[in-house]
Amino acid sequence: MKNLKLKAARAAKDMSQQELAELAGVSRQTINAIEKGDYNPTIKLCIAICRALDRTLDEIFWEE
Amino acid sequence: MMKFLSLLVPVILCIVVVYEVSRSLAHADHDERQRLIRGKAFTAAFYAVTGLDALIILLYSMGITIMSAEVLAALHLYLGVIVSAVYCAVKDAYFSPSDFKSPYRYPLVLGIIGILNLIGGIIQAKAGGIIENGMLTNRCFGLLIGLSFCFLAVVFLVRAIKIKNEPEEDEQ
Repeated sequence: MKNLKLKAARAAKDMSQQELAELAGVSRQTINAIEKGDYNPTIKLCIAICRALDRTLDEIFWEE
Repeated sequence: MMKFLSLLVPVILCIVVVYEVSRSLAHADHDERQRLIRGKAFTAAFYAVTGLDALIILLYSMGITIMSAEVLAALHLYLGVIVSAVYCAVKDAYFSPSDFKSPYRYPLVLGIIGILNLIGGIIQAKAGGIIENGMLTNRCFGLLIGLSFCFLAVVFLVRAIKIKNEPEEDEQ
């Protein structure tokens, strides 16, 4: 399932996938795979992404 | 002079390879998705080598021997490396995030090694002795290494071009 919340949060910060990837310490392809729902990140990477976007885990990764 | 040159070329190549490998290892910061894929690549390489074993055993049981033991050992090694590297490259797990800044380094180094080996292999092929008694002999190593490295260089080059040119949101 696509992670549209992540994409929206990234767009809200006017951040490219590459910029987010560098802040989270991963490759751009990994951020792309998470947004497309092709890869389930570990909690460690989820936290790194949330910190980079100034959001909580719930806001980015919790599905209603 | 020729002897000196023939010694100098492999020494320079070794220095370049050792430098590149040590630089790669120093920056081997693959992320978690890439490490996961690299694990799967090793599994794929293992199955490929096992499949080759099965094929060779089948041929041997039918009384067909197509290569010497040395060539067979080398073929196992190259097949495993190729399957693993191609699997990683296709899934964007070969280059670490820091390598993405200069992805053309890998195809360049592999291409140079491949072409040099290919030239040596072709020279040996022309001299003869690659096939003796219907079996590939260890004189085919140059061709084998050359073809393997050239194939990897082409795969890496295609991936490097794709990495450099793909639009961010519509990848794959």
